Amino acid sequence: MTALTVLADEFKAPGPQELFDLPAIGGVAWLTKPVLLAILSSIIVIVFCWSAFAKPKIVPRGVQNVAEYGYMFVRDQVARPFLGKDADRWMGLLLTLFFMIWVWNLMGVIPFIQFPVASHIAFPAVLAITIYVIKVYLGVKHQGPIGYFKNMMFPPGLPKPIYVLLAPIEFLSNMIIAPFTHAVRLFANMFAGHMLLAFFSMVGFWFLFEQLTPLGAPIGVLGVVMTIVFTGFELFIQFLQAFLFAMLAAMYIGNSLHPDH
Amino acid sequence: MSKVKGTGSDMTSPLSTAIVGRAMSEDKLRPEEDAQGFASAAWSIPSTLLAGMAIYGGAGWLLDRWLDTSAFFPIGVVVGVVLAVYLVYRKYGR
Repeated sequence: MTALTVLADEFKAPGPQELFDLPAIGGVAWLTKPVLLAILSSIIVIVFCWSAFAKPKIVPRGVQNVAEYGYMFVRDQVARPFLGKDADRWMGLLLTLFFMIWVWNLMGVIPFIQFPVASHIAFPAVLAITIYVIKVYLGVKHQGPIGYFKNMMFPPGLPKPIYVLLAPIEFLSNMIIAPFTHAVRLFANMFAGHMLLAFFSMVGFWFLFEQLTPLGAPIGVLGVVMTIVFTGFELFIQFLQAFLFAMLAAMYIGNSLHPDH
Repeated sequence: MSKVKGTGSDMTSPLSTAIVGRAMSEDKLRPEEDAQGFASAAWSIPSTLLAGMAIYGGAGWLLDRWLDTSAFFPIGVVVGVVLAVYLVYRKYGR
């Protein structure tokens, strides 16, 4: 046990500072790794969609075939359940959101890139604010400025005096907590996932390459195994968070278009 | 993660059928609308509870600062949760 603790003293787990506070590239203050990856992701999504849908065939082959699976997934699981007959009009936005966030997240496990863009909160925050603006704009447009806030804050069928107490709760819940959690859910998942992967691969690297000892080697092997396991888990979470972000966007838009629910 | 199951593809799960079962009997809802109702309920309940605690806990905290007491903050949090649960119950529970 003493040998282990001595080793553990020398091993230093990677902290948020060194993992996420990345240096500016070429002295340009805003140009950092996640910014470059975000640009790269945009190019990937544009090229992917362009090559799939620029000259669509009736019988899809190759890239179009793959992209149509993605399109059908977003349409059937994200857009239609929440937007009904308006689904097709919003597919452009929702498909872009889903593909974009998924590629952002996948950057976290692609070898040698290995940085999830959304683990800097600015990126999910911009998307969440965009959806928030669309949501409020559509709500005011389709329900009127008074009707929108009336439908939001005064759900029908409650005794009159209780509205005074419940309206502030509804307002805070819909106007502040909802967009906040929309961004933070994606950010926190990617942030924590990157920390976990960095930690386990650091354990493997340290105990197998930097400080190879008979006692430390099994820990190093465990670190490598855990890195592989958590990479698989991350792949699942990355897909799930991209899906959830697009789904919640569709839900907010749908609630603004049809206030009944 | 189990939440996702009910909100995503699996619209025929017992829970969602139970929740929208009454509305289904009116025979005018399309499947999309069941999904929307169930998912908005599932996703807005936590933020409603949080908002209740924040609003009335915050009011209690301000009262405590003003009156130099320490009792209103916990009372406010409890009142907020109770009101939020009541709101959720009336909106989605029946």
